[in-house]
Amino acid sequence: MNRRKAILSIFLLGGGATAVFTGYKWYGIHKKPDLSFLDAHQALVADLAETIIPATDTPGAKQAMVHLTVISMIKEVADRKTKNIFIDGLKDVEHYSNSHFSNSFSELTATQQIEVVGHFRDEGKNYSGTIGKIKNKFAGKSFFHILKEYSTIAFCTSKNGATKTLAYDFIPGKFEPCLQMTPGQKSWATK
Amino acid sequence: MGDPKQVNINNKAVAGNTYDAIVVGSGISGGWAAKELCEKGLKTLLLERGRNVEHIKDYSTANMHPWEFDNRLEVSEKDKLENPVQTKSFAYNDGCKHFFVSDQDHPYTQSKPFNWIRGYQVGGRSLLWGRQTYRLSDLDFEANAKDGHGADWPIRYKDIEQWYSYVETFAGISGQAEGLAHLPDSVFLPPIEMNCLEKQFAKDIKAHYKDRIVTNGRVTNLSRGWNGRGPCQYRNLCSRGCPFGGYFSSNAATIPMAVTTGNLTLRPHAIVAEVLYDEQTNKAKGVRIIDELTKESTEFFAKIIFLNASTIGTATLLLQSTSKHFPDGFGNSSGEVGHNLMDHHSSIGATGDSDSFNDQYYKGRKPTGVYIPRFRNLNDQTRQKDFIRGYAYQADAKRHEWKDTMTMNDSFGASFKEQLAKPGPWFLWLGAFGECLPNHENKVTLDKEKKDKWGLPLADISFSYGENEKAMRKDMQASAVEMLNATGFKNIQPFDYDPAGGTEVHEMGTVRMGKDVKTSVLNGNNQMHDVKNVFITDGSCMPSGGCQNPSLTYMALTARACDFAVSELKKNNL
Repeated sequence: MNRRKAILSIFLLGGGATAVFTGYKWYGIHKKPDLSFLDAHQALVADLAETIIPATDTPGAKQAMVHLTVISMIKEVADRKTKNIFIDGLKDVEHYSNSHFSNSFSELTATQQIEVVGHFRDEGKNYSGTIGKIKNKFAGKSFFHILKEYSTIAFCTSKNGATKTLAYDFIPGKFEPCLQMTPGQKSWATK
Repeated sequence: MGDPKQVNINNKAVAGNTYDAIVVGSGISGGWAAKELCEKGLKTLLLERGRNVEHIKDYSTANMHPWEFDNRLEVSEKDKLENPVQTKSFAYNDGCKHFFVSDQDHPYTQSKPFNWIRGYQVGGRSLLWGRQTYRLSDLDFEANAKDGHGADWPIRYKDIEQWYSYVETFAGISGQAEGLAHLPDSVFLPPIEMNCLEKQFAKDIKAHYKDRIVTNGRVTNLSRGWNGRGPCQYRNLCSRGCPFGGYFSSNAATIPMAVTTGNLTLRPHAIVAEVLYDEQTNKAKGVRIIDELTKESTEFFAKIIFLNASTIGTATLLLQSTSKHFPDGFGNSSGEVGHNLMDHHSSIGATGDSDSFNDQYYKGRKPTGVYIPRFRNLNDQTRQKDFIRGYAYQADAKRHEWKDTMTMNDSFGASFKEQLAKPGPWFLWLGAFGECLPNHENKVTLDKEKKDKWGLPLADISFSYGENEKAMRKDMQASAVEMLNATGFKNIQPFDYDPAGGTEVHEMGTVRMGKDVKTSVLNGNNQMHDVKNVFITDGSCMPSGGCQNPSLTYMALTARACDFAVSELKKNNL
């Protein structure tokens, strides 16, 4: 209880002091999200998801059609804040790609794409510590974290992801409580 | 019997609508009542307010893969907005949401917050339940008498013991006998085994503490085939309905048995609006239903009536069944109907990571974890100064998998994909379930103005946890942290979601049993003090709640009350 109160007071102090400054940002994450942008930029979402989970010896995000699920989840599962951060993030990615590499994200080399996503990761670091938690709660998760988490959920629950990268066992039939791991043991897709 | 032309239409309708017994509600306790009464030869009408759900045939999502759900079982914003209460259930997702009510169609009011989570269909919440089954003991049956909270239970363990065995023998309970007086063993099928870390945790707890043990979760998931059902296939998709009959539900177990007797009439879409009182005989003569779809009213008649509409549903039904004789609600001369609402309080505990068993994994998704039976306030040695009664823990150990490992760091690309594919470190979740004291002020009443689609008054719920629960919660969390520390866990994270009442979906107590007709509604046979041919055996009958998951007790009380009711009927006492 004390810890929670302490967090609350930090939150209120910080919030009060920066209220005027963040007014514009508040509008940015609470405005009516531009959902049509998502359908018009399927390829961008697909290329971003592939940068997060690339094809290796198993299929990557693109082959698993992760972008369709990410777009569906942004539309239907994400709250308004997350929708706006994600859609604005896509616009920022295009802007950044154009200004740094004079091309849209989808046209970049794999190395350049990694560099762009790396930039947004570094910009959006907001997991760790109490301050990070408050920031997440107040401002929403960063674009990078939304992209990463939604792509991962979409990938790990896809048929390709679940059955090829992970181990999928729809009807186990029995429970074996302690099994020696084998070399290259894959993690279960469902729990 | 004379010229059939002389029988007027009304009498014909009465004859056609007359049964030996009526059971209201087809969930866990109603399913049992239907089975027992049918097997004892009574022509029984089972009324269910929702649609029919036939075992296997109507489990529409049971064989769906995660990729067949558009949003991969993540709950949508639309569902949260339209169903703000039901989506608070931990079980709610696209795989089973069709077994939850629509909050839009089934509103209620909350004078003080209470999450009323419901499933209106044949089988009720027996499709969705957590399947954990623990007996109560005299520690629980004597609690009210000893500390003065609530009304004394009119029965003791010896009165119900054989009925626990009776229902367990049919249902099938997987578990490990431990010989504890305060958590009596059930009739067990083999336990569902602990995994490596759970076994180690059990060993370490035993070594560190003289007053507590870790035992296998006791569940109605069948560790082997039983009575033509199961065994459990370890899919852990129970709440979609199990096509293997791997766990106990009314749909899989009791209703099919009632059907085979030839004595059952199942009537879905039948919302019971009123229990009908007969001034001449001082008995219930039947019930009036409203068809859910056509809104047409029909009356059904029977010699005995079992109410199993769930704790809040049953209280509401009694309150809205008023007559000259019962202006405050059917059988409510005590004024206790609707009062003493309880839940268990939970969603508090701690998690910890383990460095052990890095080379060990498991196959199959077991539908239960482990259980630490109550260890507080059992006797003078374990007496607590800050609170009375007690709590138990459920726990389970797993390896972290992708949904946890994806947020462990900020990596992406091929190395991140490799990390996702590997089983992460082991962790253990430890969550407490505490007893909630019976309190007259926690109650269900009828809203004076608001009505539902069928013109029936809305339930109003007023519920809050008291000082005893708050004090107990401190110990629930502190003991979880202490046990994880003592057994070598790292990165221990206490949690407390502090949910509103109802969230555990263990509502109990609004039509309590008791010895005194002035302070209770039912006697020791779950028979109404005021109206002898009405029996109530759902959660509403509980004078106190213990800290054990309560459904097994409803099953045993139901079978026991059916036995009593039929013997009374045969003696012409009803």
